[in-house]
Amino acid sequence: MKIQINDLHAEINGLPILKGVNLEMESGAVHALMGPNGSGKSTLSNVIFGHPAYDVTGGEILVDGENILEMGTDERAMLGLFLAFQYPVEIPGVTVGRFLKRAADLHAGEGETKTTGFVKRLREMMDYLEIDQQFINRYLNTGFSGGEKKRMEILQMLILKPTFAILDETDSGLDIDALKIVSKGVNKLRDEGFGALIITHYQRILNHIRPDHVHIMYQGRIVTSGGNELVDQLEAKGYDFIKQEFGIEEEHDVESVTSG
Amino acid sequence: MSSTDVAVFTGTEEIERFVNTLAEPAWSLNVRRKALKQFNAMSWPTTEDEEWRRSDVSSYDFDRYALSPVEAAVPPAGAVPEGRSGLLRFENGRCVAASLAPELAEKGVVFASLAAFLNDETANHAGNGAKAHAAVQGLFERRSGELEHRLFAWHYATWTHGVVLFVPGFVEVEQPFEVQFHFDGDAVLATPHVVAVAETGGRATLLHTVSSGDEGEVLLNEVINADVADTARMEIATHYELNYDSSTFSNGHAVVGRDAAYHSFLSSFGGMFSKLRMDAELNGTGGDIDLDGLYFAGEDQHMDLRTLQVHNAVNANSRTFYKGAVKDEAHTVYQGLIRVAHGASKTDAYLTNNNLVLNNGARADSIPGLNINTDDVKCSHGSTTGKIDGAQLYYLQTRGFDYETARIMLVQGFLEEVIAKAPEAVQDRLRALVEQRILADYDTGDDE
Ligand SMILES: Nc1ncnc2c1ncn2[C@@H]1O[C@H](COP(=O)(O)OP(=O)(O)OP(=O)(O)O)[C@@H](O)[C@H]1O
Ligand SMILES: [Mg+2]
Repeated sequence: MKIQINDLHAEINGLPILKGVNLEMESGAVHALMGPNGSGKSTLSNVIFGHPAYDVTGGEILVDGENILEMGTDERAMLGLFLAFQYPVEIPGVTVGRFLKRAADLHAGEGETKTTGFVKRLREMMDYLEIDQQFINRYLNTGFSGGEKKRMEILQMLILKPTFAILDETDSGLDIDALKIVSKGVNKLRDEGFGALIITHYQRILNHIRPDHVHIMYQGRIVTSGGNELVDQLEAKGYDFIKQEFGIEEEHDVESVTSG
Repeated sequence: MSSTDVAVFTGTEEIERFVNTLAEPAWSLNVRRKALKQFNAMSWPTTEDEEWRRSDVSSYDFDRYALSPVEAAVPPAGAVPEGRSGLLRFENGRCVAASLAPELAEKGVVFASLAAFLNDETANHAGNGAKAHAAVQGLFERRSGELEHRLFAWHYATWTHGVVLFVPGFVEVEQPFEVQFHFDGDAVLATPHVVAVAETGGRATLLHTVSSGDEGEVLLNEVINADVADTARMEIATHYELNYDSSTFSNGHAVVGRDAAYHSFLSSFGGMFSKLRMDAELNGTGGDIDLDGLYFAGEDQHMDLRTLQVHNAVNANSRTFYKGAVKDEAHTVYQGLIRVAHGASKTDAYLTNNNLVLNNGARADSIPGLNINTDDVKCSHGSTTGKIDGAQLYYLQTRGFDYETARIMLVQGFLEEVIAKAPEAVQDRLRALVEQRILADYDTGDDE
C-alpha cells in the first residue's frame, strides 16, 4: 500500500490546523512522526480516517493512487488502514469478544470467520500481548486503565491485520513492560505487506520499533524528514533546534517537549 | 355461573352486576365492593394530577371495553417445562396450561390460578394452604384499602383472573416460575392480578409476560403485589408486549422485610399507550431493592414509567436502573422518586435513568426526584437523555463497521447494560426484541 499526502489542508470549526502536509509512506516501512503538542499529529490521523469534525480545505490523500477523501470512514478501514487511538473511547454494553468477532467478520468478507477458529486466534493473541482472558467478556474499554486501553488497540490491530497502521501515542502512559509488549505486537506484523506510522513524543518506543523514516511536524506541516539521527537530535536539543534550523516563526504558544 | 356461557360486562356501569355473579370467599367480595365504592367516588385521572401530567387518558372511553369473566374451573394439568419450576398460561383469562414441580408442591409451594386457589375450599383450610390463603387475603386487603387512582379501584373491583405464588418459609426455589397472560379480540378489558409471597427465608423468581394477538385493542389494567418477608429473596421479571392498538396500565408494588431482597425487572415494548408503575417499600432493617427497567418505544407509542423507592427502615439499600430507547415519533416518560421516611437513617439509595433518542421527532422525558425526611442518608439520582455518541460511532467506523451496523451495535450496547441484569432465562428474548425494534421501519401510512 502506498499513501501519498499532498499539500493537505484541514480545519476544525474554521480554525486551520493542517497547513500543507506532504508525506509519502509505503507498506514495508515504519515511519515515526514526532512534533510538539498541538502541532496537528492527531488531526492528521483523523483526517486520514475522515473524521466528520474536520474539513479538508485543500490537497489530497491518495492510497495506491486513488483519492480517498470522498470515502467514508468504514470504507477507508476496509482498504486495510488501522488507527490506534491516542484516547480510545469506552463502549459500554459491547463486550470485547462480540466486538472483535464482528469486526473480524467484516474484514474476512463474505465467508465469515469460523467462531472456533476465531476464539482460538483471539486467545493466542491475548496471550501474546499478556492480556487476561477475562477481558473477552468485559465491555470494550469500559473502566480499562490507560495501559489496558492501549493494549486493547494493539490486540485489535493483530486481529484485523491491517496493511497500514497509524499508532497515535500508543506508547504514552505505558509502563516499561507494557511498552515492550506493545512493541512486540507491532514487530509481529512487520513485514513486506505491513507499514506503520508511529506518532510519539519519546525515543524509547523507537528503540523497540526501529523506524525506517522519521518526520517532524510543526504547526501543521512536516518540516523535516530523515532517519533515526533526527530522534537523537530532538532528544538532545528539543524542538527549539527545529525552530532555528527551519526558521519557524512562533504563531502562538506551543509547549515544547524536551527529553524526559 | 354457567359453565358454557361467558357473561360479558362492559366498562364501568355493570361492575356491580359482575361482582354479584362471583362465588368467591366473602373477604374477596368485600374487597371488590369496597373498591367499587372508591371507584364510584373517584373520577379518571387528569393531567392536573402530577403522576398523569404527561400521560393524558381523557380521550379514553372506558365503557367501550368488555370484561370476560372466566369461571374458576379446575385448571388443566400439564408437564413442567424444562428450566422452570412451573408454568401457568392464560388465554383471555382462561387457564390453558398449569404445572408445578411435584417436589415443590410437596414442600408447600403454591403456584396456581388465583381464582381456582380462592375457590379451592379443601386447600384453603389445611397446612400451607391456610397460610397461603391468609397471606393472599392480607395482601389484597392491605393494598386495596386506600386506592390512589380510579384505575386501581377499577382493577380491584373487576379483576377476573390471575396467579398466586406462595413460597413457604426457608424454601429456596432455583428455577423460575413462569406466568403468561395472553389476550385476543377487540375492545377487551384485561384485568389479571399477580400475588407473590415469599415467607421468611423463602426464595423464588417469577417470570411474568403479558401479550396480545397482532391486532385488536386490549386494555390491560393489571396489578402485581409482592410480599417479601424477612431474609427472603424475590425476583419478578415483568414483560409487556401488547400490540400497537392496545393500552397497558400496570401497578406493581412490593413490601420488603428485614434483610430481605427484592428485584423487579420491567421490560416494556408493546402498547400504543402505557402507564406503568413499580413501587417498592423497605420496611425492615437491611432490606435491599433493585428496580431495573428496559423500554424501547417506536412508531407513535407513548410509554410512561414510574418507579418509587420507599425507605421506611434504617440501613436499607435501594437502586433503580432504567434505560430506554425511543425512535420514530414515540414518546417516553420516566418518573422516579426516592422517598426516605423520617427516621430511616443510613439509607443508601440511588436511581439512574438513561435515555437514547434515535431520531428527531422522538422524545424522552426524565424526571427523577428525591424526597428525604431524615439526616444521615446517602441518596443520589442521575439521568441522561442523549443521542448516539459520535465518538463511539466514529471509533466503530474506523474498525470497518458501516454506519448502520455501528449504530445498531451502539443501541444494543446501550440497552445491554440493563438486559444483563434481567434473569438469565429472559435475556436472549430481550436481545432479540431489541434488535427487531431497532430494525423495524416506521410506516406512517397504515400500521397494524
Ligand atoms: N475540536 C477541536 N476544536 C478546536 N480545536 C481543536 C479541536 N481539535 C483539535 N484542535 C486543535 O488542533 C490543534 C492540533 O491538535 P492535535 O490533537 O492534532 O495535536 P497533536 O499534535 O496530536 O498534539 P498532542 O501531542 O498533544 O497529542 C490543537 O491546537 C488543538 O487544540
Ligand atoms: Mg495527539
